[in-house]
Amino acid sequence: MLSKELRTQASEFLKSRKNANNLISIISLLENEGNVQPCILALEMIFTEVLKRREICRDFTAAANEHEVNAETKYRVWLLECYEDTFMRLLSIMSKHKSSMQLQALTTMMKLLSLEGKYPVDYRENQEYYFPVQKLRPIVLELLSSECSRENLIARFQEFTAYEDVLYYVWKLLPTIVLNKKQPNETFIKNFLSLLDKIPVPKQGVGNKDNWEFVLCGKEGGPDFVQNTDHLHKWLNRVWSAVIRWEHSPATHQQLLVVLLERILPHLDKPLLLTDYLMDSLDMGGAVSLLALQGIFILIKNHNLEYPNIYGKLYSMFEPEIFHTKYKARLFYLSDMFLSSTHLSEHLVAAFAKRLARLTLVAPPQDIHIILMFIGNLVLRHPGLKRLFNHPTGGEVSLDPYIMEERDPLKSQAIESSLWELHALQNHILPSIATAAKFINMPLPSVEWDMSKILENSADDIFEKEMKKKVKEITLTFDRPQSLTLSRGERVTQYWTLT
Amino acid sequence: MGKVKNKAKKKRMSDRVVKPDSQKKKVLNPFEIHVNRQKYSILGRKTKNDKGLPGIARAKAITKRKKTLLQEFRIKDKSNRFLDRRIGEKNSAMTAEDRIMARFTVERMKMHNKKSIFNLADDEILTHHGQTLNEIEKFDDPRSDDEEEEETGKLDSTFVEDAHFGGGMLKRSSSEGHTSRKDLIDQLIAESKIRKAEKQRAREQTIELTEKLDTEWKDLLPVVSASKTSLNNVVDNDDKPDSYDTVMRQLKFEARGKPLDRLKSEDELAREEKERLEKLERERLQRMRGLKEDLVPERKHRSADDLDDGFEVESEEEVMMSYNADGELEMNTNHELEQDEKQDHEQDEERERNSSHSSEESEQFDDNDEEDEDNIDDLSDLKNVYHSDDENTENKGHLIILSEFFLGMVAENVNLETMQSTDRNYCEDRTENKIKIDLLARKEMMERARSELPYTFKVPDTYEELQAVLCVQSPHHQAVILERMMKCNHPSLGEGMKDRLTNLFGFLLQHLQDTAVSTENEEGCNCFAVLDSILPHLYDLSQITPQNTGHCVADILKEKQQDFRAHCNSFPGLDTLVFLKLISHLFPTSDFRHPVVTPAFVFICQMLHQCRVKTTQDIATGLFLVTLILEYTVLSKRFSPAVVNFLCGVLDMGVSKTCAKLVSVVYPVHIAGKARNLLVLSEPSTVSNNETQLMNLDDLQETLPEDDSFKLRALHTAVKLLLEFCCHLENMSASYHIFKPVLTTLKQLEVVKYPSFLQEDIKSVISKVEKMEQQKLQFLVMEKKKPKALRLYEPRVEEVFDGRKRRPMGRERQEHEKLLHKYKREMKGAIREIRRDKSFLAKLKLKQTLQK
Repeated sequence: MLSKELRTQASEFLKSRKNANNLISIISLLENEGNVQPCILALEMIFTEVLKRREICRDFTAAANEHEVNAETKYRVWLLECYEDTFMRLLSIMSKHKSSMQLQALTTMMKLLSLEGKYPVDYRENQEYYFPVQKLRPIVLELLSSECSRENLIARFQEFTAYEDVLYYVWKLLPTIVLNKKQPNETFIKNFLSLLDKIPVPKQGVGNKDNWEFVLCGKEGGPDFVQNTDHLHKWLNRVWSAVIRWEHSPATHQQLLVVLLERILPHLDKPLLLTDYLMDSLDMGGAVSLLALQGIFILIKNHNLEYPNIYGKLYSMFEPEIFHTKYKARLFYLSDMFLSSTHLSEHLVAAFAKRLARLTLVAPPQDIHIILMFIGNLVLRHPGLKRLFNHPTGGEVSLDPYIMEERDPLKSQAIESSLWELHALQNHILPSIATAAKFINMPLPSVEWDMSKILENSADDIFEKEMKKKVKEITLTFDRPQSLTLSRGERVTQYWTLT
Repeated sequence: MGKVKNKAKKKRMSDRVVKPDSQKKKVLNPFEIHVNRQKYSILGRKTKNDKGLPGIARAKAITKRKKTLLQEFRIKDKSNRFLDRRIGEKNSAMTAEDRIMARFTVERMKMHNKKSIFNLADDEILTHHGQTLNEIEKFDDPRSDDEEEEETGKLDSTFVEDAHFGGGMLKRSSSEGHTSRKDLIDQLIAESKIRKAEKQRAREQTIELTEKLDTEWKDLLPVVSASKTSLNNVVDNDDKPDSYDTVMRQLKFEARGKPLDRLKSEDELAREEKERLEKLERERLQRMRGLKEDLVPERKHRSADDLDDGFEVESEEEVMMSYNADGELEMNTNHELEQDEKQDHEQDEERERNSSHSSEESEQFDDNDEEDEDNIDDLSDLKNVYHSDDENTENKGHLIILSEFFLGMVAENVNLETMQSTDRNYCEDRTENKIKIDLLARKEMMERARSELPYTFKVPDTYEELQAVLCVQSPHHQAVILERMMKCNHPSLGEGMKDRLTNLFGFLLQHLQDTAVSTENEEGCNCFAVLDSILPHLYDLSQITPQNTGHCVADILKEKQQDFRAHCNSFPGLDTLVFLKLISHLFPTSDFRHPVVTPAFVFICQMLHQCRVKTTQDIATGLFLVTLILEYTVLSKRFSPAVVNFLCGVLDMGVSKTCAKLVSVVYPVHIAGKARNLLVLSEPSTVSNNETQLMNLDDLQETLPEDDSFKLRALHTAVKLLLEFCCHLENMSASYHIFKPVLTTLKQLEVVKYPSFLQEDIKSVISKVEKMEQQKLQFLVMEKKKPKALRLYEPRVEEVFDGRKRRPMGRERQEHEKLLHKYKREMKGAIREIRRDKSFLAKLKLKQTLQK
């Protein structure tokens, strides 16, 4: 009902200037909670048309002789005021109302922005590319609210950043926004990081002539949008250096590292400067240290980083807690990479192998599978490690020479030890593990095991696999039970009274 | 004579000489012989196709075609034809009479042509005096043969004498005058007629009389017979039956047991049962070690000259030589064996004898057979004591003893003497006593239930039907219902019974599930009670079709696992636990890999690893799962990290974290933050008595207020479970490292607060783990491999060498090749024949067209 009414009002307004007051009434209706959406749509309709007609346009020629205040100019000024007012109101809607309203407001604003870019309010002589940056700034600021999370809005905004000019000007705005904040609160950081995560870094050297389809405010035959890649780089680095100095909670720290690894790192000028930061992160434990590890790996691989005791840090990451982390598969993958070099000392690799073996004593089945393969691969790379399960002299010791508590892998004396843990695993209740652990009794294969396939395995997968095993015959017990008590091997009724 | 002989000989000789001559006459034109020249002449090769006679062969082929193909060609496209099948019609050599004779003989032959030479009765009807024997055998006609005078049409002897021979002078003189010959004959005829008539009359009279007599006799018969029997009775009463006779008759008619079903003595039954169990146990052990059954047992000794070719000298059995008291040499090993064999032999003989007897006599005593069958049934009941019910408790006691004996044996087999046998024995004793008491009580209950229920039940077709029958009953009643249901519908009783019973198994599982889920169960009717009582019947059902059982349970397991995936952080309900418990009863949990048990293991481990412990209920459920794993692995002694982790986590909950040090020992167990102090005792325990409390069902079902009794129960159970796992794994080389976290946690516990029995248990666990630390560790060394022998270049001997080498291939492949070869040859031959047929026909057609 209301929407129809509003639409007729809007169309009447557009028909003749006599109905100018309709605009006022529509704007005033925005205050009301219930009818925000139709109002926004009606306003969008009005201003789209008005901007296209260039009725809103500030006429510089008219402004020159200011004393002549004719009706036309008055109307124009009033219309401009209404336009600005509406824009402010939409912004406020975006900060307060329900998410659907917010999204509507955002899209409307972006649409108006686009039209304004095409039909600038200020009349311009020169043929330069025009983008209403002063309108974009409040929008971006609103997105990076310090009060609440703006995930969905940012997700919508991401669609607009597909336009090159929007992306470019957002990046242009970011340094100014960031540099103003000394220590923003956590919500802001979260919003900011998710914005960074969402918006892409502009590609290099895109500036071809016929790009008016890829820009928001361009029109056919109009001036071309040209972006300055050097500036972009500068802005990006400036933003990052500011962001990294903020104080982060573990959650945002993790998010920061994810953004860093996935988006920023390739574009940084001097990535090696991050080394200390990553090393500090590495000591934090948990997922953060894993992400840091990945960062370090990239630095080592691409930027020839050398840092003392990287392996020591990696070594200390193997703790029983890892089996609960989401990034466990990544850890195994990365450590496999780190240890893929055949030039490492055998003492070091033996320490890793032994530590991993110790972990199997508490690990869930799916991880035991991974670890077993991992150890197998280590032995394949370093044939000297064979002594871990084929001791050259034999004999016996009273205590395992390996020192689990030693932080330095080189001093852990793992090479003196034997993999008794794997021997114990041959008695694991799951037959798949028991057979896998038997590799220490058999000649090693010539090719490494492919770990990548089972890295993401879960207990469900193992269950399914066991279920799928086809067996010809299903054996049954031969003791006929008389009751819950078994004739032998009964344990449950020893500890429980069930009936 | 000599001459004649010589001639004969000569003739034969000449024959012999001549014959080859006549053949030689056929010597062929060398131009008609085609010789297949051989490149190399090989000794001993049979040359079959070295010469060919193409001309003759072609001629032969053409005549053959004329006989077959040409005939067919002539009647081609003609649907009717006239066949003259008259005998000898085409044979011009036969005269018309011959033909008739021949046809007649054939006709006769047909008449007499018997279908089989042994069939005497059917086609030829034997007669006597024109009557078939069958008719005669009916004896309708009372007239005997004697009465029938021969009615010959012959003349009277006197007349013959007179008329034929009495002529002449001797007699004629005495006669009163000669009557004319004509008169004489007339007289004769008249006489004979009169005589005939008389005879006829007389016979009719006798027949009448006999008939009359018969009818009268029949009337009289009942009276006579009655009097006769009464007379007999009197006689019988008078003289007592001879005792010898009666005994003899008794013996004669006594039911004979068939030799196969000889009643077995207690000892034999026990031995048989033992052997059966031993065999099954051996199989189980094999499966536990994960070996395939068909694996060849490892040879003990390999000589240095062993060539790895599978050849083995049959080593004689090692014989222990010793001297007995008398100084005689005796061979220990063989002795007993021989005796056994002898015994067996004797038994066999006996059996044979009996069987032969019985086969002779079985026909005579058909009535007794039924009784015999009854006997058989009884015996079978006795034989499989397992399948009989609780009625025979003695048997059961017997069995328990057996299985116990058996356990001892197993222990020996596995070489686990180092196990703490004392602990174990104690355990066994206790369980045994418990079982006995339990069984008595159960029997009582069952008796009561038995008396209250009807005797027959139908096997339900749908689950709803079963529900209707079972839902209102108590577990014991349910058991009786099932028992009767299965007795009435034993698979041996009918065709579809097996299917229905397998369905019943599925329904019962569903029933279990429903009782586990439903909340409004009355007292004593929880799912475990139900399982407890219906378990024997579930077992019986499962034995009928192992495959189906496996699939049913596996499906349920899968379903449960799917449910668990939906909320994978919370412990499952009773419905899952009850099925996991069921698995340990139906399937051998010690197998290395088992299609049902292994997934169950995976599932339990997954739950222990993933579920988050929040409440006392969670703790109880976790402990139950751990107990289940213990039960599953009691025999196989396998190791699972999940178990130790969980128990460690439970113990950790008993350590109060307030005491400043706050050791962050994180095991891979999810324990919610709130629950970290869940098992810390609020005050020192006042429980002084040594009565240890067991965990119970309520712990599993609801979250209890955190009272100290539960805490003590849980901790105590955890410690006891740990103790048991320690015992199991203590021989493992890495055992100390497995239990090391337990040690640290146990040492943090405030032991003082606990009652004495718990303290003791904790101490024993600690001492056990510390003992593990003392264990020496053997460095791992790979087994030395026998170096592979160099290949020897000996001549390869082929048993039958037939001139060519054969590629080595499998038997089946060889057969296949042979067939293929044959097929190719036949194919070629067939094509050639067809081609020649075609050309033959073409020639024929050409000829016909030319003629036209």
